[in-house]
Amino acid sequence: MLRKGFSLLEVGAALLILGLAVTAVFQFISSTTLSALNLENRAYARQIANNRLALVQTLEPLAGNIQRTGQEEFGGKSFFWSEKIETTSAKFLQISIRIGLSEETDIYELRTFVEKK
Amino acid sequence: MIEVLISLVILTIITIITSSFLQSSISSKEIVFTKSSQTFQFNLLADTLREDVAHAVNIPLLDLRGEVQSETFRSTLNTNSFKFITKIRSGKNFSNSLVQVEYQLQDSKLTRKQFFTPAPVDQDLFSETVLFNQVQKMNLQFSDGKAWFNFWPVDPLTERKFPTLIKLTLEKENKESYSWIILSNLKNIYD
Repeated sequence: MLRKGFSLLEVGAALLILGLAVTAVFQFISSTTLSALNLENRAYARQIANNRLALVQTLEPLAGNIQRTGQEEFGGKSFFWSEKIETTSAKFLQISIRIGLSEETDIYELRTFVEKK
Repeated sequence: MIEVLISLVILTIITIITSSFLQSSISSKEIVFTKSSQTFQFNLLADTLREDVAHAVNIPLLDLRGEVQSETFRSTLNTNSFKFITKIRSGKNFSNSLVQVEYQLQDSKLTRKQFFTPAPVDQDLFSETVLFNQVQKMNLQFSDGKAWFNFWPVDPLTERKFPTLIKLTLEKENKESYSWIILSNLKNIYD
């Protein structure tokens, strides 16, 4: 007698394939959302770095080879920054500014040279 | 009977998976759209302000009657605005055409008004760009490189100078705060 329909094994295999496909699509969606969030964080971090660079050059100068750290609220998030000045030549200083959402991990780094005053 | 029940269970599982998948896709699309437009607006303000300040020209402003004022950059207390004269972009390059620009908080929106000349006699002739929405509070500070002030110019000497730093802080209706500190390299003093 000819059996109609699917066996349990076939249904199980079909469900497994469906599950794998759905998981892959879920991962794609969540990575897109994470990318949008990362983009926003990086835009804020870039602005904080530019703000710090403007202050280091004017109101909050760093005396050679010193590192400074701080925390700033920006766009409802808390960012950590660290800045360092190194004397690279008689005329120029290298300023490195790192921004992160924690003290350990950086999401943006600004490195530039400014003329000594 | 048992086959029907198994089919129903499988169908239910597939329905749950599909509906949650659709739900998360919709919420993800909303998050991505919101965050992307916020980031675009944020970058637009940062880049526009930096470009205007970078190409600013230290020449005196003119009043409504076309008379020369003593100051080259003006922001008075509690006006939530500042104005100065800058070069405008013509395609990818900056032309020598000068215009007056005014940044102003109006109806919870930060706008940039670009007049068509450096001395606009008709104050209603301008093109306007909305740079930031849902602003609850705006705070402006200016520095001569030594201290912060809430208005500019602060004395007869700074009347002829462009502020070294312009700090713009915006607080949105959801209490999120953003600040831009723009450094001006315009060292010359207008005589």
